[in-house]
Amino acid sequence: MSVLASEWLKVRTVRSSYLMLGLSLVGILLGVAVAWAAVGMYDSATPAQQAHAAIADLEEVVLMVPQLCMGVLGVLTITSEYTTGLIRTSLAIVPRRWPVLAGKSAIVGLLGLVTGPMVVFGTYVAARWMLGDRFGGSYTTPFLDRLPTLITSSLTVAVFALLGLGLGATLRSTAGAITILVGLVYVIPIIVGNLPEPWSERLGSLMIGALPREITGDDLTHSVYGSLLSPVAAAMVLIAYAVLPLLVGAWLMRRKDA
Amino acid sequence: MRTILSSEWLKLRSVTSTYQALGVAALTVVLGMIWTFYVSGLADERGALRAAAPEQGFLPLIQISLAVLGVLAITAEQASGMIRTSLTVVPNRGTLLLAKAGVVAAVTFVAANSIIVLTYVTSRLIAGERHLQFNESSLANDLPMLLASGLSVTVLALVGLGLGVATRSTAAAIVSVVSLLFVLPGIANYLPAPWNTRVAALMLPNLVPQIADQRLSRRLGDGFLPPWAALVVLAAYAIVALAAGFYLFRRRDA
Repeated sequence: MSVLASEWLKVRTVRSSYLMLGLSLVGILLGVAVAWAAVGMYDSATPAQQAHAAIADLEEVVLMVPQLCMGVLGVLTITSEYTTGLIRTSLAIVPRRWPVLAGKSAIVGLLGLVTGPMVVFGTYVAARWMLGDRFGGSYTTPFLDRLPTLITSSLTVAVFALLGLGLGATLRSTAGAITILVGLVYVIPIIVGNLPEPWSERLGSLMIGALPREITGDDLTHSVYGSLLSPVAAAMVLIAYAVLPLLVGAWLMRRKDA
Repeated sequence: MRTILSSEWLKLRSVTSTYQALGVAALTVVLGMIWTFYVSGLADERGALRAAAPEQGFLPLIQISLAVLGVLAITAEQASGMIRTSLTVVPNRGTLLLAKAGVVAAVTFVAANSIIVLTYVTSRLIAGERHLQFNESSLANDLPMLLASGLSVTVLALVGLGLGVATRSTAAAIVSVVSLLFVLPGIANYLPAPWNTRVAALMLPNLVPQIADQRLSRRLGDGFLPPWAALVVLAAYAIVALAAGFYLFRRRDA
């Protein structure tokens, strides 16, 4: 319990945590800006153009902002301790490695669980309110039908936070961990998208961006990644993204000197 | 100036992260070969297909890893406190930053172009006479794209350096570079037309095809910048980032 309290104290006393939380919430503003631009465009278009107009799910578009920010927060909670040398103090006080990492995981995961839904549901509510029945009524689907995907999308933010923490514990380097995190979110999906069939769909189904819809089985034809996994398999893959790097990080922390 | 350049060169070549960044960027050659072998195999079954050129498909990998190299060239010094030694030896901020920018630009320019050319040559040799689409245009046709790709990597490294000086934090600088390279262009894609093309045409990764006078993507169309204007915008990214970094570097204590 005191480990949790000390980890919470560490997170809430550095400026970068507030910066990352603030930037995550900027995602909502981005969504609002895109919705506002879309409304302006739609209202000034001719009826023929309006009939063909389409819009992406804005909460899915802005989702990568909180994902990236909370992932970086996860990275920094451990790598900043290695940079400053505070980790030696932390481990002198709590000599067993796993409670330290578990405490950090709990704090970071919890922050992800709070931030994710705020951004996803905030953007959804704002977009729904602003767009109304424009764009062929893409935002008039009953809320309860969209709810499962909104929830699984929100959860990916917590997964990213834990993934960042795991990568940070494994690599001990801010630059290395953030670069790999970015590679997972942006670079690898681009490369996978360029692969010829059937591999682009097979590997695309494993990308984090594909998993929320695969878990709920919602509107799979619109997925830009792939949709081959069953809901249970997709949920397992999502959990593996969070847990595997943490296990590797915990193992390395036990084996190596701080 | 020569001694400062050589000291910057010494700093860059004596840390492992430089070689890790260059190594990750050089993975492009290997990935390009695997890619070409794979699509060649498919082409042998199907006759002809349209495959993306490996030096284009894997360009984001070179861009992000060498941008990180640019960031680390300064933030590693800020993190370790070495920056104070550097500024004691070279008190003039402008000279120090200029030397760093020179070394980073030279290293990334040579590295990026070697990697891109090597990927180009190996993939074309492997592809041979098969109909893969990307190997069927002449070198003269591909040259603008190759040069623009190499140049964009150098610009990203300098943007990384400038942001590193401005933010003094590895994490903040890398996140800013990533926003410029991936997040903002991604979001610009989703703006309603014609604003998606207008905004996306100014985004860093989309300047490369515009310099080479090629199409941006199926979704965005041609873009609207002529090649020279796209080149100016590309250079402006590096200059603005470095100028912002320089201004803050002069104003603040190390």
